Amino acid sequence: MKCTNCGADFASDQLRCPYCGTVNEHALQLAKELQTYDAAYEKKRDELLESGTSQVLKHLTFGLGIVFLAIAIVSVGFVAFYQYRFSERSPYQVSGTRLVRNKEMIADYLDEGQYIRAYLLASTTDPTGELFQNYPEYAEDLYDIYDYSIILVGVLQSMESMDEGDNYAALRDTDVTSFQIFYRSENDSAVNEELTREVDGFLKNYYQLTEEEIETLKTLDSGKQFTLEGSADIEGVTKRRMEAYFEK
Amino acid sequence: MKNKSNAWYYTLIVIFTILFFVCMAFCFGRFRQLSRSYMTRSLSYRLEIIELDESMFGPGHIFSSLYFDKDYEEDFDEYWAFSDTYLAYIKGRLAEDKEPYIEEIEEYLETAGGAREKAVKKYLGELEGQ
Repeated sequence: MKCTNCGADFASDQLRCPYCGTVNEHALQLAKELQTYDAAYEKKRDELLESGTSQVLKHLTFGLGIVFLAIAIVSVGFVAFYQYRFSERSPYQVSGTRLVRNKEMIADYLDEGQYIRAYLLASTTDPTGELFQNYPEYAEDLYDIYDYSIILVGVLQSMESMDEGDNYAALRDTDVTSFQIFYRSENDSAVNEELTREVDGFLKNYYQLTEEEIETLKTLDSGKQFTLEGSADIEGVTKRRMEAYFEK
Repeated sequence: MKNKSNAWYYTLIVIFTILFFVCMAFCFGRFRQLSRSYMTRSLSYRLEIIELDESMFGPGHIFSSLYFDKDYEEDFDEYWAFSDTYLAYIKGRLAEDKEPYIEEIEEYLETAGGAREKAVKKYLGELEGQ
């Protein structure tokens, strides 16, 4: 372009004339516009970056939230299902033909005198455990067998200790309670009759109680203290008797 | 959500991640516990345990294993047969009339073998000697 002062030619983007130094108004205007444009551009770029990051974070947050929630729900559901499926009292264990078969097996075990086995089968495959909801026809006998099994295990453990020369358990208060619970049964079946005979035998031949004392224990009102030889120290009295008998 | 700052999203992501790992840790722990409990109630495991008990503590321990592990299945028939004989011996020791219990033990002796036969002969000898 030509200088407005001296008429010399110079490049249009130069701010001053290289010959006379006159200001190139056109270039100056362009420079100012460019500066404004740069500032606006930078501002816009920052705004876009800020809103873009925000958008990405927003999607990431929702995405992660949904994915984590889905995985958590599936995992908790998975665990809850297996907890239910494999729980000891799972109703899955007693449905349809299996329940019918279990009932047949219980009947067989009771006929064969395998009472403890019948009780274990019933309690393990019943969602209510020792309430025997799935086996109402055998419930009375099974209650008795359950009470009897507690007594039997106590006697066995005590005899085992005695055989090994350790201190064996005489009749403790908790044992008396177990016997009372057993005798409280109003079931008059053949199973109860046989178990009663055995339990009487434990009291008479192991714990060394007399027939009269056993009868007293059977008829004792709930909550009343059972005594032997006028003493509430049942364990002490039976221990003395058992020592005298088994060391004979 | 338009007014939410980036810091808000970062906080949410951190909270979600922590919750997720806490949840996964819970599920892992619970599932491991469940799988162990399932294993201990499996038939093969209980058969192994009863054999181990017998080899370590002798046949007299069979009844306790059957009772406490609730081994009612048909796979435990041979153990129940011995257990009934063992209970006959225990009851026979306490009974005045030992004859029915001696007969029951003799009946089992016809089929027994190995360590169990030895144990049953001992039971029989004890009852007959009383």
